[in-house]
Amino acid sequence: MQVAARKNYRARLMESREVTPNHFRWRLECPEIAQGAIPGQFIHVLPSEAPFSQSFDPLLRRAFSIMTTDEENSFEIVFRAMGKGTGVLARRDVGEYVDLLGPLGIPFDLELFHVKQKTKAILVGGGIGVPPMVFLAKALKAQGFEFQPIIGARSGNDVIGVEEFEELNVAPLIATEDGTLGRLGRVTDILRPLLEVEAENVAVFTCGPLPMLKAVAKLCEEFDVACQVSMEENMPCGIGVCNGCVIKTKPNFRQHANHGEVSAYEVYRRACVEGPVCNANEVDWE
Amino acid sequence: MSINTTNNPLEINLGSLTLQNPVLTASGTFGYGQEVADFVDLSRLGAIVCKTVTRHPRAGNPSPRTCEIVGGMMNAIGLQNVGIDRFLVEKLPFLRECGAPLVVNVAGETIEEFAYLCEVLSAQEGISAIELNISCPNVSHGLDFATDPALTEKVVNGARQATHLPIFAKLSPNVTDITQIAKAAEAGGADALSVANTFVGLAIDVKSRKPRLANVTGGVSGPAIKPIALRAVWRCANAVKVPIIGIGGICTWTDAVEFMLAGATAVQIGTATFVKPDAALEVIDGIQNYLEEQNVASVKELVGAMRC
Repeated sequence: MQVAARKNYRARLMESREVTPNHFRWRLECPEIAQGAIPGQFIHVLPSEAPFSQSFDPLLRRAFSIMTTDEENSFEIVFRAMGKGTGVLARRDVGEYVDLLGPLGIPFDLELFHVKQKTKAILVGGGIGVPPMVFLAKALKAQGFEFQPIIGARSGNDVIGVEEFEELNVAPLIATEDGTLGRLGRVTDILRPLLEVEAENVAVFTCGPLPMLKAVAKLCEEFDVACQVSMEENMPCGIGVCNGCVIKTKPNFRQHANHGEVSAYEVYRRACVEGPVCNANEVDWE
Repeated sequence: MSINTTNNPLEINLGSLTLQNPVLTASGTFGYGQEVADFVDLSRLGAIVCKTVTRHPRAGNPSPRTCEIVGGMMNAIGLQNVGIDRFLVEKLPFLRECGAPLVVNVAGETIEEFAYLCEVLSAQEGISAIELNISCPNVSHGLDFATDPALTEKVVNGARQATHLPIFAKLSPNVTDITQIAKAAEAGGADALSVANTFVGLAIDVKSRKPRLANVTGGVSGPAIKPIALRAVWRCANAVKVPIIGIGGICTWTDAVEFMLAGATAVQIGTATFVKPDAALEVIDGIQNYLEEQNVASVKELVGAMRC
């Protein structure tokens, strides 16, 4: 698959549907992204319909992982209306044009399967971190790899992605903190027994809130399982110029790529261009 | 008013430096050009002011480094950069070839370090000017030169002795009287003054009662600071003879024209680039249309042309 050039697009909003309370699923028309985006990549969206010169509040773009594409004309995202920016987005109407940058960021790396000879992926999505797992599941299925999704959420109303995984003929395992859907507990309560059974064969991919990513990463470290995480940070620019969205790296991953010396500069990497996907063992979780 | 020697109504001069238009990118908002090249025809810019370069690589501050506020944002990046040695190898070759004049922004912890950086850069080809970042609000020591007139004059003079390149001094707005600092920078030998840097601010998350930035305080930028920055430019323009480069929340061509009417010869686009990578190009186009509509032959005629 060819990585599409990053561009500033005006994409037509084709569908907007509130799939569960406050969770909006959008279909956007943009052939370049539909054909070129890779699982783990994201778009950076201007909330307001008004041109930038006429609307300064909310000011900054909002980042959303791509959930699916039809590989031809359109792609989908899901977002939760929780603040000023997503609140404005939730009120946008079908037919309007959405100003977005994309496709952005480093995607998930499926070379992991070929290099490490893994046969199965466990996809752990927490809350609004589920959409990129759906996109990844589709790619894995197309390449003939087995996968098991795990969905975590606060409550049954916050669970998204079930039907998308079922369309791929795999039933997701679900954990909610209040027990209203699936089992009462957290994604790691489901992940641990899976790893106990077949740690040698699997690789883990995950996206969600930071505490969940940290818990999943620690569990994978315990079982010596390869794990890739998609990190979420405040992302003002999304294109690598502001240095605002940084992730702290572990000391042994601070080598300067070309010269080999340990560099202060490499302490932090930018989530938008050197992520959002990182190998979990490279991230300083403390 | 100087007379235009070319047919380009947008052409301006900053000391000995001639630029094709008055719109520059602000340091720390445009990376080293390469990051933005997918979105912007860089050769159309008046100049690129690249992210601050220091003597040694800097890790920068912990996360979170940024937060949004009403009409703007706050940042405390902490001058994360690869350092001068790697800058010359990794960043300069692209910037030199990208088609826009290059202004390298530097910060030192001492007067000697500023001079050293200027000397090293002077030996390189393809650099049009040096901007001295004597005003970063987000580093704990050494960089607060711009709050003291005597230190400002010394550091600018040290740089002046170290380079033949035009020098811009980037001033802090977080001072009692910015005109005192402006005069000191002029006396030290600055060819132009960049007015100004971000305003120090604070934002608190009431749920956790924690500051929204790990650094506690940060620099406020964006449309929210525009009127305050505009006043600072106006006061400096009336206090010194060297040209002023206006900076502070400029998002549109009308913002840019306001800064020029207040006395700025050129402007820098900062936070707006985060929102629209090509914001600077839209500002250039807008100024050009304005000149045609107002029947003004040269953008230089706008400088300080506010009618009181």
